[in-house]
Amino acid sequence: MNKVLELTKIFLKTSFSSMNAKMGVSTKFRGKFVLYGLLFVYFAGLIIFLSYNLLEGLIAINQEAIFIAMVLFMIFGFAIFQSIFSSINILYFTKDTEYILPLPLKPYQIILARTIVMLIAEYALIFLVGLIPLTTYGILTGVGIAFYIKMILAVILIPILPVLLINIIVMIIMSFAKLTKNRNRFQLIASLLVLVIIIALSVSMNGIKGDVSNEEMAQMIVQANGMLEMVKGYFPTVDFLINALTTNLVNVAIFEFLKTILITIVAFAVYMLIAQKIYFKGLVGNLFGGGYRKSNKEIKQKEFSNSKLYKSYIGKEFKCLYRNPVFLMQCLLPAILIPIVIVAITYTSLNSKETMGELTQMLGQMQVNTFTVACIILGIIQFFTMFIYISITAISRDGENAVFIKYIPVSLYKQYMYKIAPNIIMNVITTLISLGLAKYILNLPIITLILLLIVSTIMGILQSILMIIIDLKRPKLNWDSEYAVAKQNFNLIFPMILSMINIIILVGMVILLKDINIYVGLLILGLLFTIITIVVNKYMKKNQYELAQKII
Amino acid sequence: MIKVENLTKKFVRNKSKKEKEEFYADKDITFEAKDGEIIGILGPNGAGKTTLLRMIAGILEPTEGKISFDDMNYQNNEIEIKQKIAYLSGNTKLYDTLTTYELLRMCCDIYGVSKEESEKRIKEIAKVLVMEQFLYNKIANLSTGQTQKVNIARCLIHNPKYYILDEATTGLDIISSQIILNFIKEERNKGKTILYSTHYMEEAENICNKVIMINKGEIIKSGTPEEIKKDTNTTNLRDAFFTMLGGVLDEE
Amino acid sequence: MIEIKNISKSYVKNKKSIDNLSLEVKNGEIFGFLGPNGAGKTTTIRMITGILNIDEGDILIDGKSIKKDPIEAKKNFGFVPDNPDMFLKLKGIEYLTFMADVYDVPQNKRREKIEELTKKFEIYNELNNEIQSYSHGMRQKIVICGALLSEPKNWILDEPMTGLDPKSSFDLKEMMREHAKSGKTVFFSTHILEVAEKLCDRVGIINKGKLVFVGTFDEMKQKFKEEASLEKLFLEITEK
Repeated sequence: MNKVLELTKIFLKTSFSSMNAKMGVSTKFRGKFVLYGLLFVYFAGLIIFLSYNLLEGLIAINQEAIFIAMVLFMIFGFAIFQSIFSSINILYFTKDTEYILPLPLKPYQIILARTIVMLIAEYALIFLVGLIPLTTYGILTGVGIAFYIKMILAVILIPILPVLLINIIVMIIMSFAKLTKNRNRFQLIASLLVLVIIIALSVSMNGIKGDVSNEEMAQMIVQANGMLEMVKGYFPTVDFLINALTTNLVNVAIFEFLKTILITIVAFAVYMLIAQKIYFKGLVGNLFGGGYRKSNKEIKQKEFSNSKLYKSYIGKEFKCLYRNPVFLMQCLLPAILIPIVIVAITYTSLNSKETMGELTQMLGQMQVNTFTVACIILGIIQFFTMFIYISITAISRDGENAVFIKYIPVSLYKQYMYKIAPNIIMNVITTLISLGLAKYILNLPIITLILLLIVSTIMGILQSILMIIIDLKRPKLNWDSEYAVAKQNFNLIFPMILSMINIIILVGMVILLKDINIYVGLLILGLLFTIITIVVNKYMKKNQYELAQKII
Repeated sequence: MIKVENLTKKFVRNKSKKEKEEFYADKDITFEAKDGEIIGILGPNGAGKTTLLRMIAGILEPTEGKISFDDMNYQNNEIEIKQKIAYLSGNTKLYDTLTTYELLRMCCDIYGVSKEESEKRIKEIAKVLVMEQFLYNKIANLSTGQTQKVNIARCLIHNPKYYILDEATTGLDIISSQIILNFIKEERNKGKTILYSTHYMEEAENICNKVIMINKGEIIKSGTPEEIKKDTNTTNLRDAFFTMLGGVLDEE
Repeated sequence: MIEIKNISKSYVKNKKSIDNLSLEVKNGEIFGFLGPNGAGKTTTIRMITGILNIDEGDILIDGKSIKKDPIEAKKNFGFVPDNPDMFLKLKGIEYLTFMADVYDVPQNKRREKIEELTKKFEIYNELNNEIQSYSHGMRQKIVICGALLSEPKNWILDEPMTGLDPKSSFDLKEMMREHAKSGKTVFFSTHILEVAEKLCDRVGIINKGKLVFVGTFDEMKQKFKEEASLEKLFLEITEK
């Protein structure tokens, strides 16, 4: 056990302290601390605000218990989502494999340490989305101290099962991946598959709820705890914990907790058994590169052909992005997936004719082609695009090879532009998907859609330029795994901040130009962002060499 | 003593949808390293040296063959063996957020070295490898040579009996490599068993009791440096290497 | 031709990593740049290639200043950095054609050149695989191929022999000799004295940011007692 703790300590220390490891920490660290603090306050405030409003409504109809179910399911979902992204990376793509394996450790010790690290990483976020709303609930409903103890226990217990589940799925997939001809592509497909399954699951769950007609719904609400029953039955331990948290009886709560703990322990045992059998095979297969080389193939004439530098360069950027599973998942896919998930969920929930009819009726009475609506749409797109991490990692992704840009005979400004091009393209794709959705629901005129596309694209260009400037000023070039760049990178906070600022600007514009004609309003917006973009672009062009100073 | 018998690592790859092709990273490798010997493992890039050493270090499972450490083998004594080997591969900056001292302490903990003992050993090793001046610096801020010293220090902190060193001096200047080579020689004199792969023929000639030359996964020559020079009619190992590789290449 | 004129560089204020260094590498010569780890070899090479700013002084490559006319200067050299782990997700052939596009190698020439170089280094058959699957030595080779594709007049190589097996390192040395013979320039850093002795027309030795010696290998020997073994000599130089 001692060895497990030591190993966990090493893993933790190296994965979490990576941010402030370089150079002196002091002043810079304080700035980061303040920024993190502010963000925490921002999100905590947001969560409290939402919880408060929701709870007030639920208390009014005596259904506050459903809030607990919602929060617990949310934690569960969060845990699944996070482990999908982190599991492959933490289990298979860290560079210390070759160092860990020759150590006198039993396989279970390594697996245990890796799993504990994953769980601890999950808790950081889950405490935020779990404990804050539950505490809000506790204060509003005035429950006793016992509730808080139960709450903490529940939040600790819930993420364990999803992590184990996802890890096992990943291990099974990876032990097959070892045998396939083209490992990288298989890894990519596997990770996509897991994602698709989860999305399908969420959509189908949504579909089930959609089937419940309004009368049934009303009837259920009338029944005591009716709504609560409705959401249960998807995952046993979550149900037990819902029971434990909503009951006032101590013995019931203890019983439910015992059941959950028992299941968790059994699951853990099964997990450890399976993992010991399959984990190392896949891991070692992953380590060994040489043996899997494809057979020699004659190179076709086409492959020698030349193309314009911008094509070649942007093509290279895209290849390096999509062939690397971590970068693909973190930088490229969110741009497509997030809007698609939202489209899918909206579509399934709107698909029942009744609701659709009601919606169109409601919308029919509303004027949708207004500046306010346009700004809301732009704000939503901003929310989607802040997850595109291409530009903010454009330099750091190259790692120690980043100096390449400095010794080839191509102007740095041009190279910056080539590097942000994928970001702009993904931005446009996200915008197009979102606008498609807007057209479907709101039936906006084509001119409005085109204007929105233009404004959003300009905002995307601005975002891309600003983000590469930030990455140039604070690059992260010495990393052990891609994960350190695309996930545990402090810089990733900046797209979020920019999107928030943009949203604030949009809100400000709505307040300022309230009743303005939509076209004039969008024109003004477009002009505003164009001017800012031109200024920022000038700055980048003028300081192209100074900006690259940190890259050595 | 490390004894390797008929060690083979085979990979199967799909040539096309139906056809499968076998590929030997190592084939039928047999040799013995006695206590107090340094065995040099030489060969061109991609010859199978690293795969061989990985199998011996217990990272890769061989397709066929036997590896034994004195009277122990991986089937029955995996942890005991790992407790006694030192495996070093390439030159990597790992765990660079830790200081040298922190890393070494953690290694001690994993190998179950007691607190007092590990303090003593760290001091000792820091002195021998001349790394006292950066013992408390973050690994991220160390130079190539210093990082490699840390790598070496961490894999011998537990006083191992068997050394498996894969290109330990690649990229180091003469002073740093000399320190490391001297250390290896001293360990040999203490009766340890050492496997040592390198590209530097002069180095191999200098420190190895025996060398094994591998090409395309198979041993093409083994013996003491003197024997090899004599057999190939050359005056140094580098020329011997060329003579033999030339011969092998011509056969194709 | 590479002209280094009185360059200085300090990372920390008042502590010069490179102190007033001047050097001329002439056409038709192989110049070996020696020094222990941390002496300033890499810093100097980074300044020549434009990776690092030059605090004082200037560097001309075939007459073009890397400071004032960086793009033109960069066209005049091919550079092999010490870390060959580049663009691991690209296939060998994709990397080479990308480099050909960057250096504007004309269509009719590139195929011939790629084939010539990669066959020489015996990696032609691997070109359709991702660089990730290459061994260290093969990565080193493909990076060298990429740098030499455009037939640059000046070769700048940072520790090019590291990780290469004797055969490949022999081939590379032959190529360096041929290149110099045709009146062009090779500038490379190494810490292996033997390589420098056999290969270089002249060597420069740097220690603690200062050039402590420039001249032929024989001159170096002369300067520091004739009998001293090479390694001792090296230690002697670096300790001064």
